[in-house]
Amino acid sequence: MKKMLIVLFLVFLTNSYPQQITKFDVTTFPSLLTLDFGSLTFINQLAGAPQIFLVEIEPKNIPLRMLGEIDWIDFDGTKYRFSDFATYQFESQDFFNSKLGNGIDLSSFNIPPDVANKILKKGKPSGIFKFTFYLTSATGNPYDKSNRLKFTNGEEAVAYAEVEFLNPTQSLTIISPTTGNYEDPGNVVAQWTALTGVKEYIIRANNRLNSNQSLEEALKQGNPLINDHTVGLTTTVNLRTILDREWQGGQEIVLQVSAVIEGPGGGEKLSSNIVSFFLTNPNAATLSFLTNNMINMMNNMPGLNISEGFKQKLLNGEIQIEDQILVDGKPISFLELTNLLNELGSDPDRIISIQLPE
Amino acid sequence: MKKLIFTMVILLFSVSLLFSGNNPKSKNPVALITKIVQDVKVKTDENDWTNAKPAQLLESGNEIKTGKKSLALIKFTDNSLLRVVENTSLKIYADKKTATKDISKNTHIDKGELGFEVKKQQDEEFKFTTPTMVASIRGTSGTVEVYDDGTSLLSVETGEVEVNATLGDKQSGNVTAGKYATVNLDGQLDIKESTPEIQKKQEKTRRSETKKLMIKTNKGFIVIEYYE
Repeated sequence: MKKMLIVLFLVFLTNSYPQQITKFDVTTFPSLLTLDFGSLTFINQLAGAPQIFLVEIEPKNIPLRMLGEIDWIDFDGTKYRFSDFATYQFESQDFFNSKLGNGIDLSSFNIPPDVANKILKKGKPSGIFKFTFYLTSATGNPYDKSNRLKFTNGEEAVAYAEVEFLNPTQSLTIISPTTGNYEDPGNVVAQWTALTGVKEYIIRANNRLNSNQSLEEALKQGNPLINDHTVGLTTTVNLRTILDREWQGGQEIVLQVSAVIEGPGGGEKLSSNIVSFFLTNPNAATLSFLTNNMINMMNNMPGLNISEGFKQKLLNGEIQIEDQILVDGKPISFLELTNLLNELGSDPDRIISIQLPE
Repeated sequence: MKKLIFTMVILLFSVSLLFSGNNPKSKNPVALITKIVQDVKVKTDENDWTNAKPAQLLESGNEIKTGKKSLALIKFTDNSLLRVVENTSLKIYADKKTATKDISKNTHIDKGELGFEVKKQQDEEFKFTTPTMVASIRGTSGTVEVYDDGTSLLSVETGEVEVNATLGDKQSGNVTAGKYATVNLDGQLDIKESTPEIQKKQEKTRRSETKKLMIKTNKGFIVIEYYE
């Protein structure tokens, strides 16, 4: 009997004394930074998701549970509880996040919808995600702190990891027109990349006065050609149809698209890159002015022997200026060409040579 | 034995000839052509006028001439720079004055115009000569021009230049920044304040960056090369 009591006491001790953990780590993977929002789909099912973190527990094969808390810190420093979950009992092992809900079942998981929506509307993972995991005893409420397991040194068995995502503002990109292209003024189709969680897209376009003006300055100056025109959720629009004032063939145009992301305090505005393109088909007045400037320049430098025949062909339209004007390989607008020809005409010494089409 | 001695004498004579004056002169480049626009030609001791090549080395005694709408940039070993504009011909010399490092660099301009930026000379000397004057330069920039009638004009943008007429009255004087001097065939030196026309000449000689404008037409491209 005495022997039996000792055995029972030992069994009691084994089952009642908390297990001691020698290793409990969580590791995230650097490649996560290059993944899109799909990387965080484990918040829905906690299964079938890409492998984005690894949990390592020693010793193995001990029955226990795990409690997880994931916090999200936005770029403005605000901290949100993004998700918490608890597992049913399982035997300690090393596992990837993809096993959660798919081999290691979940007894609970909570995702505040407002936080999830806020993150989803960013379009891409953004800010800092902090993972904090606790190991708890196989029995009892995992949310009860008294049930948490300890390391051999007596400290709480907790594992941390952190992932920081790059600022997603550059994810909105104008696909067309491309910088430096020449476009028909009657049909300029703009297209840009779609973002998730966008309330609406806003278009702004303006003409650039010369190549010394920065794209930003050109966009902000005066009275824009398209003044923050809202186009809803479409990602393609013919700019010609939303002009606030008429543009002219020969102009250089700068274009930017912004996405409004819904959220508290009026939401957030993400802006695309600025592209600049040129309008072809200058009107008759511009062409005439341009041709006159060129002939004036040629007349001012008799030493270069420009034939009268060539000048006549320019005048009567047999030779027509088209939509590709380059200075050292870089495109310039018709307006800049006009100014340059004017400069050279008034200082013909600067001209070294002229080659005409045969 | 007599025959053997004769053969050896001939042999020694031949060897001495081989290592004497028939050898090409050792090369001592004094400047480099760093830019060529249009028609630039060089004449050396070995070759008559040939087209200049970019990065061509120039030796003492070499001549350079530029054609219409042309430009040559010449850089000396001390980084002094000459901008030789169109229709100019000149000859460069660089001679050791003593056994030390003293070097005398002289650019003789027959006709035409050039701009100069001469670095401050230490134990060296930098001169421009024309048919009517000698100008000694020490860390100066400006222009030198020789007109068709032989009159020379020197303008100074920075620094100071000592000018000596070489003919007739052989007048001399110092030309300071913002002034220009003319020296005629009678050796008369006239120093005056710079004028807008002179400033325009200075500006013209400073031009060396070129650009290429290409305009597409329905018949092909019009290509215009111009100074920036």
